Amino acid sequence: MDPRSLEAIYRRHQQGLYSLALAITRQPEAAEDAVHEAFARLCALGASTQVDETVYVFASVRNAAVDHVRQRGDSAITPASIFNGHAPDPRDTELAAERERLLRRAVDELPEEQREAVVLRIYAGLTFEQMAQALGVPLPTVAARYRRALEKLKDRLQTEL
Amino acid sequence: MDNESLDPLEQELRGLCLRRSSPALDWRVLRACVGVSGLRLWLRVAAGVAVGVALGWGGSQATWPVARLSAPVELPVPAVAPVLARSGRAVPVPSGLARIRQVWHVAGEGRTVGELNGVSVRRAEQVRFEEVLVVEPEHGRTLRLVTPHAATVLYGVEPY
Repeated sequence: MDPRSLEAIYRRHQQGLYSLALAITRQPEAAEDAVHEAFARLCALGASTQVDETVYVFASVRNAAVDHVRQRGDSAITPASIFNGHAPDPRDTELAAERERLLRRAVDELPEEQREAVVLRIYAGLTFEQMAQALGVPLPTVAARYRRALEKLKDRLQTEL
Repeated sequence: MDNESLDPLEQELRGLCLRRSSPALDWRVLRACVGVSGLRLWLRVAAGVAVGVALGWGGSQATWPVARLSAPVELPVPAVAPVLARSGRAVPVPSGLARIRQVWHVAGEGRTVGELNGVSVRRAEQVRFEEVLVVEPEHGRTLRLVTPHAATVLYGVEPY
């Protein structure tokens, strides 16, 4: 891929790419390494791709993140949130703040596949078709993962608030 | 995906504040992209290092700015120019943004440790970017580097 295209994709999607890597590795440093390694590899390869370049980059970052998790093996880590530390807005009611805290925790605690789907859809802004390509699964599968994730989040909000 | 097509929960999710990567990641990724495409950049770096070595990194003729750090410090970005500037010499800044292209970390006088965030690096962990990888000349010409130890840093900028 052309380095300039890669640079443009990085600039446009850096938050989504990083969040995806973090959703998989659960470690900020490993997530950054995964993003860097994916781009370094893509730049070095220089090969063109038949698929949507953005999708290709997301798939590469995902693969690099999965590799990190594999290399890490069973070593215990404290999973990092994909969200920033909570800074309560003084205008928020206590209930709203609690709801936000719960929602963040609920997303972090989703099964990995569902968390990936939420990150790709909500935070990376990919279409279901792009998500399916990036994850290498059929479109109905990825749509179902996303739908189940939302249902699970709604359930948690209803039962715990 | 625009906000109008989102249901309330999706909108709520979108409103949550995501953890951000460190500025160093920007540099690492952009460096990876630029490094491969820019033979010119590599030649420039090689030339800069060669001259720097010959002049003991700090000579008045050095082609890359050199600064000694005992961190954290604010380093002035002395020049945003396609031609590398001498340390401390002001060079007219072209319009637009400037981007830090290369930072070299030097352990001792005249001795290169390696390329920061590059492949063959030793002790690169001693220097990390804290902020301002993209410098707007009109809004402050500083590059903030943090290092736990005193170090000599050779760095350069060029137009973006």
